[in-house]
Amino acid sequence: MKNLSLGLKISLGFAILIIIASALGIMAIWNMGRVETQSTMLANEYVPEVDVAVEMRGAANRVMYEMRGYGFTEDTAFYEAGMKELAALDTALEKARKLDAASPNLKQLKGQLEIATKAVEEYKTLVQQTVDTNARLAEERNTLDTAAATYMSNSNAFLAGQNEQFKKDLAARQEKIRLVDQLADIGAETRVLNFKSQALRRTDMMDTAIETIGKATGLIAEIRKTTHLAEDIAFIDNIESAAANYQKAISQFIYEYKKGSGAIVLNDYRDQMDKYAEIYVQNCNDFFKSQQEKLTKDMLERQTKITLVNDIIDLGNASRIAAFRSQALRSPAVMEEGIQNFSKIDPLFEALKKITRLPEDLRRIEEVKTGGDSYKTAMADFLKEWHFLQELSDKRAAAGQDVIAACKETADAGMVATDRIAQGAVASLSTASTVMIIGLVAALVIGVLAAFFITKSITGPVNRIITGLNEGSGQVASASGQVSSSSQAMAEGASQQAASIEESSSSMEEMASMTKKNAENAGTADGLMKEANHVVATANDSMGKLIHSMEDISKASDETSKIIKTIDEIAFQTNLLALNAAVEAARAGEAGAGFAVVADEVRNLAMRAAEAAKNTAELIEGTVKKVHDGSKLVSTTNEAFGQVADSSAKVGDLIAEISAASKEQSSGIDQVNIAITEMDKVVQQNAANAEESASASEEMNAQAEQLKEYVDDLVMLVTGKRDQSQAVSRKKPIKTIGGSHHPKQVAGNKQMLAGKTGEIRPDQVIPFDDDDDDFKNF
Amino acid sequence: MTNELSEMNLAIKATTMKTGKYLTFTLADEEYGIGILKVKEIIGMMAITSVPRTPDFVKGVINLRGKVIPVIDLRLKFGMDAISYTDRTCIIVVEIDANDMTIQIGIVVDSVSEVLNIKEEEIENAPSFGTSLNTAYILGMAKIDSGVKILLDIDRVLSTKEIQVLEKSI
Repeated sequence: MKNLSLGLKISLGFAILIIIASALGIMAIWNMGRVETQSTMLANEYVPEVDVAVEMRGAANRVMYEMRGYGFTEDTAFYEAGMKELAALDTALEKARKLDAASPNLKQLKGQLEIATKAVEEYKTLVQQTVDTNARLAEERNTLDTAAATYMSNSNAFLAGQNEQFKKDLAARQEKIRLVDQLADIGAETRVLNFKSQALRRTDMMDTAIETIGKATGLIAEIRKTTHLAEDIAFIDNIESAAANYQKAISQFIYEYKKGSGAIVLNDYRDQMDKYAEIYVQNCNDFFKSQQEKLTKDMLERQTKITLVNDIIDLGNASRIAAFRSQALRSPAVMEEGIQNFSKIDPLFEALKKITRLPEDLRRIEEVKTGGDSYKTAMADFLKEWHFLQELSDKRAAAGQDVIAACKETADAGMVATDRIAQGAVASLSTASTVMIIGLVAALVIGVLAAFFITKSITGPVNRIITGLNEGSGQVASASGQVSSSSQAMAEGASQQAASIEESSSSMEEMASMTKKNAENAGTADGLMKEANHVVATANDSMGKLIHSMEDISKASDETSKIIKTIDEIAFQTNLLALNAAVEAARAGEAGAGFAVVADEVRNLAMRAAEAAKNTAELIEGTVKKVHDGSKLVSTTNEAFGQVADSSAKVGDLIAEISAASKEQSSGIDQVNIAITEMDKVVQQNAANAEESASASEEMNAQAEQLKEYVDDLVMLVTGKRDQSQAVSRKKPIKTIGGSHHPKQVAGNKQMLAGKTGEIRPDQVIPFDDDDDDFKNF
Repeated sequence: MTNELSEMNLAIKATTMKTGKYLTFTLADEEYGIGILKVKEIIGMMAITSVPRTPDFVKGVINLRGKVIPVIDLRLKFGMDAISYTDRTCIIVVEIDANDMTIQIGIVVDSVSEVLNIKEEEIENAPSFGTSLNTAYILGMAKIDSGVKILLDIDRVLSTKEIQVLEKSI
């Protein structure tokens, strides 16, 4: 990049921009074309697909609604409406087929259309079946109603018959009982008359009795008419025969009585009368009782029968009610419950048959039962048809649902496709716009960057060169100014050096004379020190003698103490002797009394001697101790004298060294003097050289100014302005060149040179204060 | 006759009474006294020949002018610490009555003090330290100059058995 020429760089930047713009344009055209294709497809195919599907779905829904109404109500108005809607559905299907043929992109439509067509066909068949079933159902309902009517009328007839029979039976039985009662009354009356006649002995009364009993025959004949049971007939026969016999016995009694037969014969007849009367009454009572029992039994039986019949009628009614309720509620379950009632009726029939004897009744029961069975069958048939109808309704609903599902599927597919295409269009458009925006931004960024880098790659190096040249010329100018001023300073410094060298030369001479004096003094001190050493040696000698005499004193004291010890010993022995003497004196008794006194005295003397010896010993011990202390002091003093001698010897040595050093110093100073003279010469030479270098730096300054002018030309080329750079170029060289423009600072420099010549900085000599911002605005 | 009697009485009194002269000596800074009539003589320290198989307190025998005398150390006998002998150490030769005979024994003491005349009233009987302590060898306590001197009955200091041992050692 750096090696490319300026023209090539600029061309390259523009080329990149053109390529990016072309790419963006192509991309936008392509995207627009795609979106257009998709929109066309959407308008021509997918939207009509959804439209047709929705239409079909609406038609199917309406058909289902109408048909459901027909299924429930069997109303033909619903059916006709449904047929109309079905035709509309067919039309919609036809429309869909056409669309399918015209649109190659609708892949799902064909499959769904087939499903829908098939479902519609099936639905039609089902509708036909429903119509048929409804017709059958109506028939069944008629049958059902007829059967129910027959059943109920039979039952009611049977019940009425039974009631009538009941009433009739009751009347016959009551009649019979009344007749029997009369029979019994007749018997009783006859007997009363008989006994009365016997007691009153009146035969006429007896005749009345026969007459009375004769009435019984008529009654019996009447009873016989209504009596069928053998048991009852037996009773009646007995009563009749007893009555006949009783009558006969009474007649014979009368005959015999009238004849005036004896008591035995009369008694015999009387016994016969009693016996037959007894039989008669007995039978009458029995018969009466049996009749009453029968009446009770008959009544109970009849009641049971009526109850059973009533139950049958109730159950039949319940079934009918269930049938009507189920139709009203449209619930077959209720009718099924009603059918359950028939199984309950069957045992009732069986019970009824058991207690029924009359063949007419049995026939009637059979009739009722047959009616019930036919009713049950009719109900079952009806139920079957009904279930079939419901099944059909379910199937119809399923078929309808299939159509609707197919429509929904199609509509959904259409919607999804539409949505997808719309999304695709949106995505394409948004992608296109995003790409355009990104491309524009990229083009902008790349254009800006290219412009920036190209400009920078051109102006950067040029600026750098200008800055470098400017700095270089400034530095040369300032350096030359510095060199000039420092050269002048050097010249002045050299002359000052010469003066100070003269001063040092004179002070060196003074130093030489002082050094000589020092050497002389050192010699004198050496002599004095030697004398001091001699005195110290004498003192040492005396100290030795002193120590010796001290030792002698110590020895004498030792000897004295030995003598004193001997004295002490003697005193001790004496004491012992004295004590022994005292012992001896005591043993001697009275004779030794005087001796004891002497012994005591001797002992006292011995004690005194011992005491004196002890005191002396103490004194001598004190002396010995003091002598010992003294000898210690002497030896300490002796050591101190030794140290003094050593020190004085060292002092002597040092003084001798000082003397020698002074001499050497003196010769050194002479040499320094010679060196100073040479230095003087060198300084003179230095001053001349400094003058020369000052003139050379002036020349350098002029050349720097020339360089600055060239730089100005370059700046003009780059920026197209001259004013600033001129100001920059003018300021510096004029200010910096020539130390004479700054007399103050040079004077300061001179002072500094006198103090420390090595520390002159260029910024102190040349003012750089306002140079810093020269190129800032460039 | 009466004179003789009075002399006898005096003599008896002298033996029974404690009044009389005592030779005093020191033993471990304490003053002791022995009846002067018991003392034969006082001699300074001299060479002692030790005798084997004798008790500790028996130091040995000495030759006193041709006579062999057993020597006991009273410090050891009294159970005190033994010390090395000095210039002042003395041997007191005493006569001890035992088994109807008198034997001489040397007693080593720290030092001999003096002969003192002690009166009856200055002497007190030995104090009783309890039944278990035998104080029979103490004659009494002499109160002199605010101090107490223990008066020893030298005959009882050594038991009969010990004396027999000493006799045998000669």
